[in-house]
Amino acid sequence: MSTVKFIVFICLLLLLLAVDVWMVPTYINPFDFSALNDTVFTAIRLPKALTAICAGAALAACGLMLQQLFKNPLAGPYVLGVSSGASFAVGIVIIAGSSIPFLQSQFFQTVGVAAAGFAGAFIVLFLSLLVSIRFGYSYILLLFGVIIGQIIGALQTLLDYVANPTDLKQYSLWSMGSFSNTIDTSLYLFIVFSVIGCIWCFVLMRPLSVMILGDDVAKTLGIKTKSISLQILLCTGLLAGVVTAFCGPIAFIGMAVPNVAKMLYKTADFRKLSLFTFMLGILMALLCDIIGHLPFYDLHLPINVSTALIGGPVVLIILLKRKY
Amino acid sequence: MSSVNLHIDQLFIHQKDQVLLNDFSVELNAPALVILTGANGAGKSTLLRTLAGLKKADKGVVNYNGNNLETLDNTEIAKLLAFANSKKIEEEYIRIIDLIRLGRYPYLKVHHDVQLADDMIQLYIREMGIESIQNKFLNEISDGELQKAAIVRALVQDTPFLLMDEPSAFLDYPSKKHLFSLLKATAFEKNKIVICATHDVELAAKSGTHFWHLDDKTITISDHSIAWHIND
Repeated sequence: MSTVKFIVFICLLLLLLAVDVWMVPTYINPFDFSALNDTVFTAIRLPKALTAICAGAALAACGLMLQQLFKNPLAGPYVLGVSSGASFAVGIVIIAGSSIPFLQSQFFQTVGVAAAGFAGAFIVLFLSLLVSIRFGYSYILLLFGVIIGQIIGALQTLLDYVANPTDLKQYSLWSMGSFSNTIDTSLYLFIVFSVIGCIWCFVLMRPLSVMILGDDVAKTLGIKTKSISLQILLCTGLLAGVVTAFCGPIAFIGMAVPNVAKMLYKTADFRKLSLFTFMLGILMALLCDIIGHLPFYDLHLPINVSTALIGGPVVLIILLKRKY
Repeated sequence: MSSVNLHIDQLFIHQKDQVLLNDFSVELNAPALVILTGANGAGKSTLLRTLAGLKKADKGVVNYNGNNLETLDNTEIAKLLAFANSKKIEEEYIRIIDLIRLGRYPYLKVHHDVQLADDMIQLYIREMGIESIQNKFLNEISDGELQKAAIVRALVQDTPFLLMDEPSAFLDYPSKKHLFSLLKATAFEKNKIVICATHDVELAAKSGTHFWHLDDKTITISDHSIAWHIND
C-alpha cells in the first residue's frame, strides 16, 4: 500500500516537473533537442525547477523536524523566528548596503545576500539554543520564536521606513519569494546545502521516531536526546537559512507539508516518512511555481502568494479536522 | 540461569531544595516484583528516574548485575533496564504495534528496516490482552489502552530490570489485577527485577514480593504490603 502511494506521488511529481519545465508560462517542445541550447530552457526554466525542488524538500524537512521536536503541528521555520532573522539580515544588506559602494557589486548582491540569510538564521537559532538550555524544547521556545519574530518585524518596519524607494522595492520583491533568483554559483551552492541538510534530516529521523515516547523513555532506549535536539536545531537553521537566503522567506510549505504527509502516509518508520515528506514538499513547491507562472496572466505571481493560497486552506483543514 | 542482582548503597536524592531520600540501601539477589508506594509528592517518580539514570543522585551507588550505569554506554544501558511512565503521546497516525516495536530500538542496526523479535512482541501483546487493538492508530484508542501498549513496549525491550512509574494509573479494575500478576509471572519466568511505583496497593499486594514504602525521606522495606493509607 505504502509503496503504491510512493509510486503514485513520484509519477505526479515527474508530471509537475515536466509541466514546470516545458509548459509554463509558454510551451517548449521537449523533443526539440536544439532547445537544450536554448537560453530560456537552460538559463531560466531548469534552474528555476531545480531551485523549487531543493526549496520544497528543504522547507518540508525543516517543518517535519521542528514539529516532531516541539510535538506541535504548527511549528515550522517561520514560527521559530528563523525565517524572520534571515529576512532582516538580508534587508540590512539590500537596504543599508546600497549606500556603501563596495556592497553594490554583483558579487555581493548574490553571495552577500546568501551569507546574510545564513547569519540571520543562525543568530536567531543561537538565541533559541540559549533559551533551550534553560527551558528545554517546550512551548516556551516556540513562544520565544514567535516573540523574536515580532521584534524583528518591528525593526524590519523601521528599516523599510528609512529605505529609499528603489531598495525598498527590491527588498519587497525578495520578501515575496521567488525560485528564479538562483543562477550558476548560487544554484550549485543551494543544491549542495539542501542535499546535505536533507540527508542530515534523514539520519535524524529514526532517533526522532523513538522520541515520540517522551524524552525520559527515549533516553532509556539509548537515544542521546540532547544531541538529537541540538542537531535538529542546527539542521533546521542550515536549511531554513539557505532557502530564505536564496528564495526569500517562503511561508506555509514548511508547516503544511509535514502534516499532510503524516496524514496520508501514516507510518512509524520516520525515515520513509521523511522521504515522503521531501517528495510532497517538492510537489507543493513545483505546484506553487506553476500556479505563479500560468499563461493566463502577464504577471508572474510571487511564490508566497501561491503558497498561502494552497497552504493556507490545507493548514486550516488540518486544524479543523483534528480530534479533541 | 544467570542470576539477577540489584544493589543500592547509601542513596541520597534531592529535588530542587528538598531532600527526597536520605541514605537508602538494599540488595536484591533474585527475581522480584517490588511495589513502591508513597504519598503524592513523596518522590516515587524521582527515585525511579534516578534508578533509571535519568537524574543524578547526590550520593550513593546503584549497581545492576554489578554494573554501574555511569560506566556503560547508552545502548548497553538500554539493554539492561527499561523504563515506562504514563505520559500521553502526542501522535495520531502511528499504529499501536509500531509503537510497541520502538521497544526493540536498542537491538536495531542502522540498515535494518523490518523490526526483529515479532514472536516475542506478539507473545507480550497476547499476555496483555491487546491483540484486537494492535493495528489501531494512536488517535483511535483510550488512555488505558495506550498505557497497556506502553507497558508492552517496555517488556519487549527484554531487559533484566524493569522500572515502571504508575503503570496501572489508567487501567480498569480487572486489567490492574491482571497487570500485577503478569509482571510477577514475567519477573520469575524471565529472571527479572521489576520495580513498580503505584497507588493500587491492595491490588498489587497479592503479586508483589517486596514492598518499599517511601515516606519522610526514608524507605521502609517489608515483604508484605503495608496498607499505609488505610490505617492512618
